[in-house]
Amino acid sequence: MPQHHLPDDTLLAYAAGALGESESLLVACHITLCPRCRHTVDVAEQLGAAMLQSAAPTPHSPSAASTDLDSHDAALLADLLPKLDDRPESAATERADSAPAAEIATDPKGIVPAPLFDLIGDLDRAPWQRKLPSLHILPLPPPADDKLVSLVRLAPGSKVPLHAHRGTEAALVLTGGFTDDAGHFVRGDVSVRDDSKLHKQRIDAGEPCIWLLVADGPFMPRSLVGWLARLLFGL
Amino acid sequence: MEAAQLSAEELMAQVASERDRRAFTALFQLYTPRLRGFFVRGGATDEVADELIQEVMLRIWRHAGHYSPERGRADTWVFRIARNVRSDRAGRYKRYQLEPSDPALVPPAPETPEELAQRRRSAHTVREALAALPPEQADILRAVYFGAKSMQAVADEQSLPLGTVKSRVRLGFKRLREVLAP
Repeated sequence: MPQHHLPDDTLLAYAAGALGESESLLVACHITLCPRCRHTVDVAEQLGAAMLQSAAPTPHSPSAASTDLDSHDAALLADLLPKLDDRPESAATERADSAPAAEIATDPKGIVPAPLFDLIGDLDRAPWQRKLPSLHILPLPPPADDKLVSLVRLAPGSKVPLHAHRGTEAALVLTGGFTDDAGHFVRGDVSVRDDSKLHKQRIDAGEPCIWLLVADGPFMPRSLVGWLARLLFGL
Repeated sequence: MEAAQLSAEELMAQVASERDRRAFTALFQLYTPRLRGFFVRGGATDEVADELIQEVMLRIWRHAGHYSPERGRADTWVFRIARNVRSDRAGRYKRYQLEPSDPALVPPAPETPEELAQRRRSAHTVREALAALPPEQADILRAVYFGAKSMQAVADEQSLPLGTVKSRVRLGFKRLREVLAP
């Protein structure tokens, strides 16, 4: 079970439908791997149900179903009933529950959470870009919300030297593990850094460490360059 | 038994198993006022709210078979649909979601019977707890849920520091969780 979680306000915003594309990808992948945060989202959705109930004009009527429809709603229902026999036009995108449409692909190996697998497919066949002997990057399609989203793969036993971030960066570990000043991170753990504090990471021996990285937009390319430069110059 | 006397969960089961239009009508009567309030408070016009209500009710009709009382109350399921319909309508971006059949899914520890019972009885208590929250916490939670607004957008609108908005969300949610999932 993951030990490093997302903050409650992020999970609540996800449940409320208030997160952007990149963050919802990160949260959906984390809660796939983290039963505790999945439960928190479930609780926040129960709060959503209470919000929905409180939005009705007569919130204290326990038997609202027995009240008659006004003429507007009766007309709305009359318009709706014949549509019940229609076939859905957009079955591929229509979602009922938290469950996506049946067409969503899942990773037969069970490594890549489905929301991400939908984007990248099999990790071994993905077009990784080699940046350094110990570092590969797999950029993901640019999201609509100006964040920078990529997968990062670091060789086992390698070190990410001292570096800093600008803006917020969240990294979800998919394989392997690493250690930094905040602790030891393994599959399912999320490291959220929103500071410019210098830190370094030591990648676990054994298998490559792959993480899903979501970083604040405009600053990130420059900071990534800076980060690579630091790597190259051995700082 | 009259459809109106059944619980939402029972109505959902009748819609799923018997394609019962009277049960569906009762669900329409139950949820339409809530949905209209939800969408209008989120900024939808009356016309758009009507379209969204129809879309939610259509999805309830088509997907009622996916609703499982074991996983929670019908109200919560309907909230998820309403939220998803609103996101789809906004159409600006894709909202990624958990896939329950994902082979990568790490299953939770089995729920105790107490936890399961608690999950089913919590609806009224959460509404009471919501009403009892300090107004500044409740206001921000409403802005996030009704408006689907990011913390940053809420902070900008209410001229508050982002940290204040986040801490109010966390405090309000913490109090509600103590009621919902102690």
